[in-house]
Amino acid sequence: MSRRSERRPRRESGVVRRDPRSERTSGVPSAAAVRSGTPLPSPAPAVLPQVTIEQPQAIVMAVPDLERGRLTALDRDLIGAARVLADAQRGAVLVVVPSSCADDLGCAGADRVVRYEAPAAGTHLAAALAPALVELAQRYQASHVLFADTLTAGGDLGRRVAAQLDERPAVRAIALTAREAVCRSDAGRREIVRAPPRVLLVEAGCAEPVTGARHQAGALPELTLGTPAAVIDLGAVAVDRSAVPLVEAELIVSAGAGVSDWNSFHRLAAQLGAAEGASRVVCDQGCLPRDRQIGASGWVVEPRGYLAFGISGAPQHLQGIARCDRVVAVNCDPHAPMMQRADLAIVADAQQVMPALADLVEREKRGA
Amino acid sequence: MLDVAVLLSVGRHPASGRAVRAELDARALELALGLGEGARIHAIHAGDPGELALRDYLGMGLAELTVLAARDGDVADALAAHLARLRPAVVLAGSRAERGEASGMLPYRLAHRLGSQLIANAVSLTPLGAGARVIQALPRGGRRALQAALPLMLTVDRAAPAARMSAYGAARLGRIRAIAVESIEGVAGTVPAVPADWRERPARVRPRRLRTMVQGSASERLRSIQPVHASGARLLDLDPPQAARAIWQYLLDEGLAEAGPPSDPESGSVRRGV
Repeated sequence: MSRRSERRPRRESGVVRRDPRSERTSGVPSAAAVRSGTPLPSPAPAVLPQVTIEQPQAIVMAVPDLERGRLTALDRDLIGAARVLADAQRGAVLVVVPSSCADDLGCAGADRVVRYEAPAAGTHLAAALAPALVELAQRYQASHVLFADTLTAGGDLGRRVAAQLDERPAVRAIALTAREAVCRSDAGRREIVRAPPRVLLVEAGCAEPVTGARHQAGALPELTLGTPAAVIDLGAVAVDRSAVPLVEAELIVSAGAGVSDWNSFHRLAAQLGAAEGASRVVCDQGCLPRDRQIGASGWVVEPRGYLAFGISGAPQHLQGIARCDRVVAVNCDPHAPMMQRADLAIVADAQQVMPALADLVEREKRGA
Repeated sequence: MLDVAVLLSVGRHPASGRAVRAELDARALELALGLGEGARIHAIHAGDPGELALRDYLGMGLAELTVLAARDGDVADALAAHLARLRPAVVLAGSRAERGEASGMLPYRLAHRLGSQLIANAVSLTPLGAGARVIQALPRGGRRALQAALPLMLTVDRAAPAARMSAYGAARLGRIRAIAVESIEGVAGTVPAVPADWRERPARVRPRRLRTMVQGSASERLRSIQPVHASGARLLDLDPPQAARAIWQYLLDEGLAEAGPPSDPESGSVRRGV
């Protein structure tokens, strides 16, 4: 037999027969495996080369923001930016994190790690941490100190440190090389190109995160924070979750064309403390206001959790939740695009699931 | 009677580019005006006394606005000297300007030089005895209460209540008082705002970076950019009570909801540190 006919699948009774062996070896799961709910196999983790810097010529400090004790994508970009500056001077990256951070800092690119204990309850963290960071930068003679340019975390801390070091920081840095830092200015209309100063505040996408190697993350002596008494942190204040703008909400409950029981929907959103969102169809019908629309011509949202009831998942709507991690979808149609997008897809009638879930949440919150 | 100073700058209209009031500084002034009769407001601008956009601030209900007449330069010295002489209990400022470098460093430098406490991203201010209670806005719509001693510097951003409209009559009646910079003691002159070794150019649109793998075989890299289920994606066929139970368990596992009655937010303990 010629080699060409061996490769072509043999036709029997007009049906093209797929070679099951080729599917198994290429790792594409069969439809039955997906439908039964078994988790898909994840690829084996690659072994990364180890990088050790014994005698650093310089130290570049990076202070990540952290969200709930984990490194965010911006924090990884920040450490990548510190890496760029350190590699140019054959130096090491020193990362300052709270001692509760359990992330793998070596994989993120840290050569040295300094931890600090969470301060006593009632301490304003920024006011306590800034003088300690200044003292740390002086002790290790850090050539650069990098922060993330956010409003209440890294941006606040970085500006305090810059004021105490009497430095003119590079703010809103969007690109960084060893010789130049490009910063946005004039409300985003202009750019400033300057040599990297001692303090930099970095935006997302400023540098690539470190992926190709595993660094040492050697522990250095812990940092002790003072307890400035002039500002006392009284703790979080209860907020009306439904009044939070959709772009900032943590949890969004969203209604589509498959929802007609609005009382249950509103009750569920109130019980979960979630913001209410809607697809275009619902806003066109007038069931929810237009400023609740999520999608390409509505809001592009980035909540931590998204519950979609009765939404089929038009491409424009999926664009609105492209950056959302955890999506739960309830729909009668198992083949809807939203069900393929969701992490937890439940084939059920949204009308019946919403009141059941609202009752369950009420019982759980009452502690019954 | 609380002395409140508000630092005002000239903003740029986002569409027309005209000089108007700066949005964040207007919100700071709104915060000060919201204190009512218990506060005496000192509105301060450093720059050109003839600037027409300053009338927008007067139109919000200000009787007088002080301008430290300075040419283009580093105004921190002039402002620090003026505030050191005035000694207000609270200074309010927008978190960043709309023109120039707009680094947002001015409130921090002033607070450092004057020895004030600084709280960023404030949304409300309540005088309380010898100090003040400030509500700070956190990411994702959260709020945090802080008790601060005076003197205090607050920066204000978009989470604060929107500024009231500017009225033409009040804008015309308000007074602008100019103070020459040289007459404030301790100020040597003006420092150039932009150092010589910086280059400025119009902003370029930056392409969004695609997060792709750079290592691995071609098939692994191809699979990494295809939209696939996250590991653990499940499709279930359930009746409503089971579906409710499954969703609730998912929310608990992912930390999006908490069982049990909500803890008392006024208890004063720090919940969920930033």
